[in-house]
Amino acid sequence: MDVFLQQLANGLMSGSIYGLIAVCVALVFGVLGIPQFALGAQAMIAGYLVFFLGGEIGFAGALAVAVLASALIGYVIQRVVFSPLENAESSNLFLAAAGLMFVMQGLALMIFGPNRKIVPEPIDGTLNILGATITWHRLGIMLVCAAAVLCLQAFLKRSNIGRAIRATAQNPKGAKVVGISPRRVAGVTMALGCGLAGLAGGLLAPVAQVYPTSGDVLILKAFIIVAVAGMGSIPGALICGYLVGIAESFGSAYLSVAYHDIYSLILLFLVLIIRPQGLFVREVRKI
Amino acid sequence: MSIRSKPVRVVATAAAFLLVTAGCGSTLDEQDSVEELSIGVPVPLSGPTAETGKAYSNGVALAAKQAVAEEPLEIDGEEAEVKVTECDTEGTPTGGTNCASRLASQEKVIAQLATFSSEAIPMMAINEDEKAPFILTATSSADKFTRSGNKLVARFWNDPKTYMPQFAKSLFKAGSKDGLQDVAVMATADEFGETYTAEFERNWTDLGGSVVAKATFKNEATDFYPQLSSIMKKKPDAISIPTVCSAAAPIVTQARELGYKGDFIMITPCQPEALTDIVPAKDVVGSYFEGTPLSLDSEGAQKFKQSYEKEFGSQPDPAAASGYIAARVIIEAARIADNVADPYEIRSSMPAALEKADDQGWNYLGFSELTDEGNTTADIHVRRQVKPDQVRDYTN
Repeated sequence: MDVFLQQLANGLMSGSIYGLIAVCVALVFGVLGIPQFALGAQAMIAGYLVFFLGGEIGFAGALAVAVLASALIGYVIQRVVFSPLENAESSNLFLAAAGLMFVMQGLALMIFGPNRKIVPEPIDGTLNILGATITWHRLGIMLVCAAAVLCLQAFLKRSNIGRAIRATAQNPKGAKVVGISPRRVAGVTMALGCGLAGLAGGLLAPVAQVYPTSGDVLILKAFIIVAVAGMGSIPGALICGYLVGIAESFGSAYLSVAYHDIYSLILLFLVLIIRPQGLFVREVRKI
Repeated sequence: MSIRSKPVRVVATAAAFLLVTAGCGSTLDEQDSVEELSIGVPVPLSGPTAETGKAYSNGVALAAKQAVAEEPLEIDGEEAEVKVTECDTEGTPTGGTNCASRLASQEKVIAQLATFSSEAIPMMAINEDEKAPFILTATSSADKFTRSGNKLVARFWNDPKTYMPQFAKSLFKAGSKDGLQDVAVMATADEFGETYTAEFERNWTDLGGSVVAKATFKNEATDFYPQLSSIMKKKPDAISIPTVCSAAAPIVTQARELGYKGDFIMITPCQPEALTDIVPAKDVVGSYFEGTPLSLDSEGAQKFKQSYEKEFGSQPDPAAASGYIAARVIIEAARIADNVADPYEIRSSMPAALEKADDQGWNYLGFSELTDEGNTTADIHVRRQVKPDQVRDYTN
């Protein structure tokens, strides 16, 4: 039972981070149609900010700065890189997003060098919950990620700009017709997505080390999760993040740890076969 | 007659062509008259293993500088230059092969000094290519590197088949007082990890110990709780983590988070001085490491460390020393063979070049006996972090 609960705790922790990045991808792809590969690089940059500022202003302060900086970078990226491509082919968006990822990684390599940076955990110590050991920081990651997604949901449902974002996601032309500014929506959406990616990167920094390609695994898992959840489902992205984390954890413990990265792909194949629209999206009826 | 008229354009194009080819001709003539020993260094300069790649490359650069400063390289009575060209493999097999191809075809290198098995082994597919053959050296410990019949390889690292019997025996003896019996191995998911795990298990069980759990991980992984939770079920006395310090450090940290109280066993690239820069020393007290002559601080080793620090601003690790030795062997072999163009001639002179290493004082890792297959025997002893600020070397 101890081992089962430990693996469950492991899976929920890793799933929290995957889920948060997946929420960012779902938001940006769902609203803007941009496959934002650079969200992983965004998380990486936030990790570096936490590394450099944590010693001066504390972890919480550095995290807040990292989130705000990520949001600002996201807004600028939207205006400079993606807005000019708003009428371009989707393949151009794909290339722009991939290119942006490589540029950010290259800049990080040039500025910060190849060596890994270690960020100390803000709260030392572990706790034991029903036989499962978990650090305070990892517990904090799970709680903060869940809270962030709940806040995002509330923002999208209750605020005017949130409703505008949802309207644009449902019907971009209709939204324009009723006077919603697509540029404003795009800027806010990208800022939100990048800000949340920054939150994920900053939270993960003390657990993993920070180096220029540290965001690659996150973004790959995020796209798998979004496909499993279904496009446009934000709570679904978080829940599927947990599912993927748990699948990897239990698969490694009870089947083989050598295939750790394959369990998420197996889950994806099963979902595509059984419910191709995703677990949290209703099937669209063809007329 | 305007510049736009056809005859003028033809004459202008012809004149430009002549100027360019004349310039090329003179450059080529100049190049033909200067002998050059061209060495490629395809190593990871980005990604999770970049620290090791950079250290290795620094060692090569220092060797090239010092070798010609001590004695200019003369080939056929003419002074020759040593040219070193780096290439970033990004720590991937594809990156390694791309670098190797580019260095061979564009830079015309006669030798490529690589590091990890995952990159070096794929390079073996092209190093004997008739059009651009090159000597391939690596810090690979994988069987495949020297046992595939390739005539142009050399390993400047620890071959588990040769060093493991003695090391396992010394480790068993050093750990016997503390009851070191049950060991778990958490190795990288590649050829090296497989070779190390197999050799360690074979030798450890021959001595009466047990390998109670085995797990693998990828270098870019960050969360090791699944593997560590499985390993800790078996209650090992020590966990062997055969990888570089930057990759081993999060495993050590996360094992301690999960309540693991036992020791760790590290390999040559991860020395206690480097590991305790990353994790608190108290987390590795009692742990075992593979020591080399570099860690014994002989006069030669101290001189090497001083010159490395002066050049690069940091202390060298065994990877840097290996790069240094590999480069010096190539340069000395070229000198002995009186040749910078034929990799087979240079390769056949490499055993003699390695023999000079001790006399000339640059054999910082104690390599000996470079065989035809490319194996060397390394001098490895056990080191142990006995206190947070004290490391003991078991050299008897």
